[in-house]
Amino acid sequence: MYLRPVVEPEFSALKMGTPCNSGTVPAAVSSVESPNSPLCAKSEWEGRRGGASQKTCHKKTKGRLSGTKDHLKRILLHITLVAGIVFSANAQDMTSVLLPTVTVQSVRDALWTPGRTETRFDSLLAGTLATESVSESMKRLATVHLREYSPGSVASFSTRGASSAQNAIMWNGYNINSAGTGLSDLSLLQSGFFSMVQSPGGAAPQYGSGAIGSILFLYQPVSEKIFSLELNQRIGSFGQQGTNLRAQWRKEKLLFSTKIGQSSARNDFDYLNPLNSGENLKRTHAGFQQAAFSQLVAYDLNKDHSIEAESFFTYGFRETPANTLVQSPAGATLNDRILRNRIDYHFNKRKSTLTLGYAYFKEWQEYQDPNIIDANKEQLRDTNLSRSHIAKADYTYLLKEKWAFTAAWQMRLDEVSGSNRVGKQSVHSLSTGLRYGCRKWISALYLRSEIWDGLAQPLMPQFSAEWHVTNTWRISSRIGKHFRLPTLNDRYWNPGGNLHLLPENGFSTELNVQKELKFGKKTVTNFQLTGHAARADNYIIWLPGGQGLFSPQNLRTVGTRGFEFALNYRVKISKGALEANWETAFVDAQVLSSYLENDNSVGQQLIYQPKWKHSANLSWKLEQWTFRIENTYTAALATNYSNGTLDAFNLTNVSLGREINIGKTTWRLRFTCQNLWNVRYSTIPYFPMPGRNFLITFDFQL
Amino acid sequence: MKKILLLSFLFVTLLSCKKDPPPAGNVYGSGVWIVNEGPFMGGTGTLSHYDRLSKIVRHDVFAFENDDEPLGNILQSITIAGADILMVVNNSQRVVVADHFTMKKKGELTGLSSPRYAVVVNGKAYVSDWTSNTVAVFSMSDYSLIKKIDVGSGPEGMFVKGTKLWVANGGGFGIDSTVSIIDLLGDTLFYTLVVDHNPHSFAQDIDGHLWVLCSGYNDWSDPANSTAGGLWQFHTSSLAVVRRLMFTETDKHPVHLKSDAIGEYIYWLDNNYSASVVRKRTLDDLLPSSAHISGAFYGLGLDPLTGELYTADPLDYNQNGIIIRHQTNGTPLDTIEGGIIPSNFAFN
Repeated sequence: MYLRPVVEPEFSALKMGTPCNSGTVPAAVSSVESPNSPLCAKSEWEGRRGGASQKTCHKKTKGRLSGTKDHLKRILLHITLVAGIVFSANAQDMTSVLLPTVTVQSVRDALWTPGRTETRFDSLLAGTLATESVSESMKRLATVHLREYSPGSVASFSTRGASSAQNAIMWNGYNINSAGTGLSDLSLLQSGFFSMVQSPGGAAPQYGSGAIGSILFLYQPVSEKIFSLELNQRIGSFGQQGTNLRAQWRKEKLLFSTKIGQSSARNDFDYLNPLNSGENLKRTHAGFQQAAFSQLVAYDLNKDHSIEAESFFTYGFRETPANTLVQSPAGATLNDRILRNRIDYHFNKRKSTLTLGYAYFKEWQEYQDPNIIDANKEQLRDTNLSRSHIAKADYTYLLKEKWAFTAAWQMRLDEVSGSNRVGKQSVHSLSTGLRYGCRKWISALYLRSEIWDGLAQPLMPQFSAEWHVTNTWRISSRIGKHFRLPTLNDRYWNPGGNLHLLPENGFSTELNVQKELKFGKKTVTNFQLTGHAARADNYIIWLPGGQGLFSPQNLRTVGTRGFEFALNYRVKISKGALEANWETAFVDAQVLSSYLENDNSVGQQLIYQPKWKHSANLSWKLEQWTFRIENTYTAALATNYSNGTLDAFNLTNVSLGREINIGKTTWRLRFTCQNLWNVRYSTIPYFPMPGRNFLITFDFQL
Repeated sequence: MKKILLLSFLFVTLLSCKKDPPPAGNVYGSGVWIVNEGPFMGGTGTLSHYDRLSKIVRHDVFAFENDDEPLGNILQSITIAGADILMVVNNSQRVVVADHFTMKKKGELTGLSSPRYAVVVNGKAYVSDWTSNTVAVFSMSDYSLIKKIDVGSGPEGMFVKGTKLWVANGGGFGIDSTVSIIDLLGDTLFYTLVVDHNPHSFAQDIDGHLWVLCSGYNDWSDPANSTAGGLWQFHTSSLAVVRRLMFTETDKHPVHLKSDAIGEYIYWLDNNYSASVVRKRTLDDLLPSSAHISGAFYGLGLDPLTGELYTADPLDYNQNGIIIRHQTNGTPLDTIEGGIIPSNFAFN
């Protein structure tokens, strides 16, 4: 699928839209490049961002790519046009060249939710990102609030008031959230393994259980070159170090892609002793080691058929740090071994595409604590295993040039076993969608029906639309129901699992306005404003139950509303360019009602959900030098429903980099100072995060 | 360049919040002390003070009076001894000593691994230390550690009877079935009694006998291995068993044994979470068949001055719990706001 076009001209027309008053398919689609197009961006810097307006990109790359690459270009164009604006390049590096993100899944993802807003991380090329974890990358976004005990520790996040388990993590089309916990530990995933796209907002009818707050797409990154080799290395304070190595080879019908990564840190940074103000102590027992390996093989069987298989293994060993109010060192550790395999078959004809896929996930986790001795005088050692089998089929058919139809089937079997749980469940789903698209107007209706352990769930509809008011104005909207099935831990955790839990359910909606402004030939400004609202009933919360055991209960109704604002400013200056981005996210996420008597949480903001977060960055490129400053502000938040708060914090990172091209190779060296103002902060009370620290990153590309 | 400078200025603009200065301090005389464990992971325990006359509750009084110093993670219990108040902070491995009239910190007892309860006798503090399986002895004059006395596993509640200190060996994460008796004259282990699984706390009755409440063993991984608790009554001089009453439910693990001022009745919670209050007349030979006060309580207190019962409901454990005051007969009087996870009380 990486070797030739996956989107035929008819699909291309569908995605970019035919004229609304014409039935003709636009000619020479591939000759028109969007300013968003990564390929366009490669040649014309100001084209990297912007709305879906269609402009001709006078690219230097034209003619450089041929054959397969032309197809790739076309696909990229389509993805970008359909997906809408790709904004907020917080994680992007001005000096980096964008590479394509090409999978069938990405086309499909974009196709059925027109107007969805996205943030794209180009981790492959921004060396700083490649060796860091996905959770580290994500916390740069204003829409994401990350909660972590220390860098590299188990991390959970929230988006638009939705918890980690209410966000879907889609790895090449498969939701990799754990069968047991319902969430993915993003600190175990290294950013360099993926092309990442984060999309706030729910889309459960399309992606199933848990796609409520946002969807994080982890795509397979593919280089255009016959052979490519990229190496990223980092070294920094507190024993931080990391490596990410990616090699790809492609020839005719075959493609191999190998990725290897590792990182570790001692995290023995200074912090203030809360029990003796003024005393500086070294953080202990907060280190981690992480390693991962991925191998992809893709093969074109013939003109219409292709197959790809990937195996992805992750290893993690983490010390569990103690609350700093605890004066003796902690001893607990967490071991993870996660194996994810997938095999996908693609069939692409002129008017139809079919994908058949199967994935198998196996997660093994062991928690040890030498400080806890059981009745047999043995140390606590809990081992838990979860396995998931997912089979799916996606079919899309182009009815006319403006209409498309899709149908999808998925079966997921989950099982968990180990010290604390034994259980399994099955989920069968059928979904279907109908889409109308022309240049001014795109809309899609999507429906999903699920059978969960033999119980039919209510039909889940979603409607989304996108209106191109002018070439520079775009308005889009989406409304849909959402749901989240109880996890196997919720149901089978021993003790306390509750087999009588109901799925969380509710609805979400959003309205988005985007505008691009140009001032002469050198200055471009984009802004967008999104308003959103959602409601979740049967919110699951773990509480002590009647038998003295913590047990999950459908307890509350939660309502969220808010807005997100993004502004991008780009200007060409002498021998370089300047780019600035600003994002603000406001989330009012309240408990609306509760079955718990005297529940003080009603009417209050959800705990660990800041109302405000701002993020901004400024990049200044001057010939081969790049200076970047980025800033995130996280407002104070509640840690309980009775005035417990965490102070607001403002973090600033600055970096200076130099790029050198020697022959076909590119070398980059960058020096970064993180937390420039040495702010003392934490995202969980009494779990301090590092103060000012330094990082040197080195990148090599062939 | 102006644009760059303007944008740069925007990026380095920092916002910060300052707390309002605390109001003037208070003097804490008589009243009810509410022990709030605090959040399990990321938080500190707090101490609330309830004035019976004015009905005013003051929260987090220790931090308030000591420049916002947190007490520490999981405030387990407190003990009032003369002018001192000892606050036993389990996960922070310390016992904070303060003047209980002013709540100004005087010092702390350290060198502990998991302190649970404290008693003060003859100028010495005895602290049950859960994971070290010892009772640590401290001097209250300079807060230095004098010695550690080996007892059973997971020592919990203690009771001073004459020159003896009774220690309930709660088993920690496992099982123990003993009560250690320490001779306070020599600070040595005097005798070990065998009772039911995991003794938790003591109460003295009208005849001077000592009751021992055993929680039973709770096997989290295999409930079939769980055992029911029991209630034992001892003659404190001869150490003879006067009564032994056995609970039958293996899925309930009673805690917090208390007695009224004269020792006619004893009270306890029938479980360690979401519990109801059980009352028993000490002279009766049978266990009561129903709860005295039904509820979902986590803590229990008995005011020796008024005879009122205080029950603690932590709600969802993520907000201030509520304290319900009851008449001796169980009739509710009113409610008081506690802190996060209220669990214990002390009366002065």
